[in-house]
Amino acid sequence: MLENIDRSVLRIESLTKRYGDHVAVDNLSLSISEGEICAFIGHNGAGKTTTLKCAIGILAPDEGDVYIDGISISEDPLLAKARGAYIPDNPDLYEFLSGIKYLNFIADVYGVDTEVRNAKINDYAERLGLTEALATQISSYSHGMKQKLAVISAFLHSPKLIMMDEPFVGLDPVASHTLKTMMREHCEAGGSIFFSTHVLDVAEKLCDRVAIIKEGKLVVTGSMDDVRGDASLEDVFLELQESDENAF
Amino acid sequence: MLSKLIKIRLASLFTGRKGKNVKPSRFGKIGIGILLGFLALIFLLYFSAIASILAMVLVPAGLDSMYFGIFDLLIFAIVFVLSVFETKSELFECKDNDLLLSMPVKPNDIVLSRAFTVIIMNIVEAFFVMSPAIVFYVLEGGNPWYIASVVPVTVLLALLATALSSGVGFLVAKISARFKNNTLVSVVLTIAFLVLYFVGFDWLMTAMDQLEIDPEGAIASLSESMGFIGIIGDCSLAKPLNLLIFIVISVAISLATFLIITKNYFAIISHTGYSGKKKYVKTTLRSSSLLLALSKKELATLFSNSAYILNGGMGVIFEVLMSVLLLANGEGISEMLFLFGFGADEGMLATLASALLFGFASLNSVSASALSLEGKYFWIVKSSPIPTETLIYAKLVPHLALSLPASLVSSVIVSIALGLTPLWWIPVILIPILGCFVFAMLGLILNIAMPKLEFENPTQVVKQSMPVFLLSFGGMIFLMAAVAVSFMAVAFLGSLVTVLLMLAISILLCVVLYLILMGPSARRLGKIS
Repeated sequence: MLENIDRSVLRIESLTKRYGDHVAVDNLSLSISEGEICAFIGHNGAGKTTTLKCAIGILAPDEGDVYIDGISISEDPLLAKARGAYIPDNPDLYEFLSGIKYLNFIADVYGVDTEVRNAKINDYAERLGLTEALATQISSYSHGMKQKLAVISAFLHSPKLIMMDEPFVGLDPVASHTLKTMMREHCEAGGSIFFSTHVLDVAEKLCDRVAIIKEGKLVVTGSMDDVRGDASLEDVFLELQESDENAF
Repeated sequence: MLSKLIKIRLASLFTGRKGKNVKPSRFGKIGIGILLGFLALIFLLYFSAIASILAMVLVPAGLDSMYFGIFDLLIFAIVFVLSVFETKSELFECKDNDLLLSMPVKPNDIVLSRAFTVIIMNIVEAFFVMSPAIVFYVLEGGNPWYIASVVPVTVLLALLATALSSGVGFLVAKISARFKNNTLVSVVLTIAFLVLYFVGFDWLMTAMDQLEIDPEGAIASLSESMGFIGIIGDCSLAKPLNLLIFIVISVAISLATFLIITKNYFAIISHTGYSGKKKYVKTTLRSSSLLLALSKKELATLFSNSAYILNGGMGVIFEVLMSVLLLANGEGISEMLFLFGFGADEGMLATLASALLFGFASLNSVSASALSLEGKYFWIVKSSPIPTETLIYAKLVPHLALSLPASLVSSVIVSIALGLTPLWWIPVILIPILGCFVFAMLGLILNIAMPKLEFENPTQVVKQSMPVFLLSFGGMIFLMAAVAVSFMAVAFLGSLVTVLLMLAISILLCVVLYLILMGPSARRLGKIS
């Protein structure tokens, strides 16, 4: 058991977040191990974004705690954040900067070595087809280009954990494929990924684990094979949304 | 549709994300209420002082039209300058442009709904200035016809000022759209325009000074050279034809302005501001420390937004202009001191200059909107490993980058203008520099206490938000108080003791504000999300 805890890259313990009287996340506990990709699925307003924001320290939980690579986000937020990265559902990036200046800024924030940052930016930008636009101001970028830039900035410092909120929205098919490859490579190198999505096909093919949230409560979590059994993930999800009784 | 759009505009004025984990305390609300009441009182007293002088001189002389003419011009000038920065952003730069353009909404409904909020605020400001004028006019037993016509004339003045500021906003937007560097063009055009404005305002103030010193001569001179003041002032029920002409002209100018804007509206707001694709040439990126990286980002924010530079840094331009004016009219200060019964010795001049320049530092409000301008980008710093203290230091950088050089230049110019010996240069340079730190920290403390992270356009933050308002208007009062107190202190304590006291108080203020900023404010900043 202790061994399991030590290997958890993300550990959410009894997380509760309220907005006034509304309980957005209700006593949610979840764990993701090294090398795992975990999909976080649920209907609109289920509490996915709130959970992700609490996990990276944008929102303070009312109860519970989150550990990134074993470090508590409430006790040592700077160290925990340094081990993680986050991409929101709508990547609002500093529009007054050019793409390359934004990436250099992020590299400075995370203290990425000069050689490493140069190599990684060139590599990721090339793979995502963003090299040509790097000198252009972000205000001129399309949604997809901003998403690509946000993806590069998240991978730049090789965090242990990358959390993404709807990362495939706005990406073209080639970039979407590249991102999936990058996610898999990241996990093979010992990192982990936790991302929310409504695209169940992607979750099913890409992820090792899945967590399903309904009205702030985690109703299912487990390996992809265990959760879907013989059915498809879509069938499982739809069944869970229709029923309050969950038997996992 | 128009009424629905107006409701949305009005709602946007009074709402904005303040930070989900931060609720203003009852004590804070009461404090702000008291402060606002105090500021309103100060300005009412200021306009009352002007009104009492003018009423005493002009009304008994039967120059009612001159009295109202001067106030009409004053209202027009104040309302115009207060709205000119905001109108361009309010009309053309709201973030719901795309949404409204995609819906079956007429451009004139969009323009009118956005102009409506500006007009309402302008009418309130106009009546704020006109109220003391009416009171002192009544006390002097003025003509009831003039009193009865004050309401429509004041509303029309506010309308006319809005039309003119909209016209200027339109021209700036139209010209800016032709250039790559919109920010630079906006800043240059606005500063050029402001210089013209200050020349006009200076003329008005000089005329008022003359009225006080030599009423008959000033009246004769005004009547000869600027007869139109009387004509504008004659727009009353006592002269219905004049009033009718004024109504027709005001409405015609306003309608023409709004028609021109409406016709060009789509072209202006659909201009993407696309800065052109730059070819990326691979270069070796250099690393910076966290503080330097954040500071560079803050400076990029400042220089990307003309409204931010102009509204936040106006005091800086004003400070340098004033010191240059002093260089040209240095002997005027000595004459003024003699008028008040003081000998214009070096110590006295240095003390007053230190107090004045310290107060001028308050006219820079850049730090008062530094946090709010994070707005939709706030998630970046919140999700990154950035220590709160480092973020605070970086947020002070743009304010100080504008303030410190201007303060230094102004201090040197003032020291030369007043012919001070090197020893007296020290307080004249040092005290205003401390003032820059004081107001930079105070602005940020206010912004952390009252952040506005959601806004329609950045001008709502850099001009209309409460921290900016408190720092700007509180600063003006502080400026007057600093000069008055130092004036009295020199009389009782002597120049050297006063200067040393000012230095000690400035250092103490810096220390206290730093402790607040790094203590309660830093903790509060950590909770804002």
